[in-house]
Amino acid sequence: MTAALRMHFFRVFTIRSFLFLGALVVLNVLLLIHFTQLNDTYVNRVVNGASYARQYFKEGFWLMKITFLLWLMFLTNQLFSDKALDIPLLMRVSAWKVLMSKVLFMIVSVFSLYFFLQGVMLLIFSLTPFADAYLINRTVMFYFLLFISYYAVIMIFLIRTFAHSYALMVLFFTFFVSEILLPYEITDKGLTGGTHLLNLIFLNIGLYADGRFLMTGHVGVHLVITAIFLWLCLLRDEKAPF
Amino acid sequence: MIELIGVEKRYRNETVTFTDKRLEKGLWLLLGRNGAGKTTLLRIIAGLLPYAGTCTVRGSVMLAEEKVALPPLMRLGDYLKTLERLSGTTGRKRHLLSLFGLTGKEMVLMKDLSLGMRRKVQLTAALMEERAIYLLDEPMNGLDHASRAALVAYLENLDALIVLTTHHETQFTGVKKRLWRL
Repeated sequence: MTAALRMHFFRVFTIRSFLFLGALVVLNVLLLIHFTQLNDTYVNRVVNGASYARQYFKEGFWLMKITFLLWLMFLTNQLFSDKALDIPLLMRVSAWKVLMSKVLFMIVSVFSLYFFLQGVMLLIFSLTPFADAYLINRTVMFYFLLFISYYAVIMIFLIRTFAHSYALMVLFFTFFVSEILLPYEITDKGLTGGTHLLNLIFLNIGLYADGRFLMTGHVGVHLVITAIFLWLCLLRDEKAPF
Repeated sequence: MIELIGVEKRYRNETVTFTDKRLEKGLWLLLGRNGAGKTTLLRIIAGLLPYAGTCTVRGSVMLAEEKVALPPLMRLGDYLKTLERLSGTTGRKRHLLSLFGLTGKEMVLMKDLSLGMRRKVQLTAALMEERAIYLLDEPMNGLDHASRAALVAYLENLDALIVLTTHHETQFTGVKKRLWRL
């Protein structure tokens, strides 16, 4: 498995990928600094600390969601679009192992980026006048990991089914629709039936009125959907990897 | 051994039907016009494409496609070593590296190799492991005259079933071979 992961690493990380990843990280850092309301006075930032902190996390998590979707799209495209690079692997190990190693590679690389960006986000937060350790949300990590895995598996399914990287744009667009429909601060009353339905399929993480960041939709349903899509991909690849 | 009975590949607008055939050990030249289905057939035999009919393959298969795709930032030696680790075998790497004039180039990045050199790396990767069946899709493309001659001589002495697609049958003059026309 480590040899397969090594092959995937060199397949994904080209000079172009390093530039893209670097641009994503720099953009994240600049926007996170901007989200600390640097242009406001120090007094205002202390007085309105609680709401500014909530705002910072809300915008920061929104940024992370977009970053991960972009990075996932890039990874999926790099790992799945050029099938010729798969042949040396497919001639040595089973299609099932090749697919699973790609999924593992995607999850490891996105999770690494998650922990890095989360660290940067908390570091920048700790330097603001409204920094408060009690405001740091710990449970959101689990939802983010589910969010990443869910979208990763659906993206793999889309690119394997339609054999074109443009298919990934559909998912990005639908995520934006679910994001637009999401109220500023979610209350159970605020969610319409349509939003519920959309979020049940297109997972999202939002700020609830009580200040918690929670996943919209249902953890169990999304775990089942993730497993089904992964199984469909495996089934297809076992039959014919091309 | 490869045996094809009623094999066909259905596409949206057309169906490519292959004649029944049984192939035993030796060098086979797969010939046919452009679009006859040579690459498709090799992919079917390698188990990469779905098809209708029966394709029986006895023995382990190795396919080298016409398109040369190598990870650009990987070093030549590292690439071959990683592939060896994947299959868990150490084969004829050194001999093939010397045959293709790649000895001493193990530290070169793939992106710095010419098309011909990358073709040689691809062929080394495919032929370095012992397999019962080798499927080579247009392996001569991009190779210089000396490398072509070296490859033909190497394949002639290989104790395996080799199916090789080509448009240039004359390159195999004087070589013991069988023809398979699509």
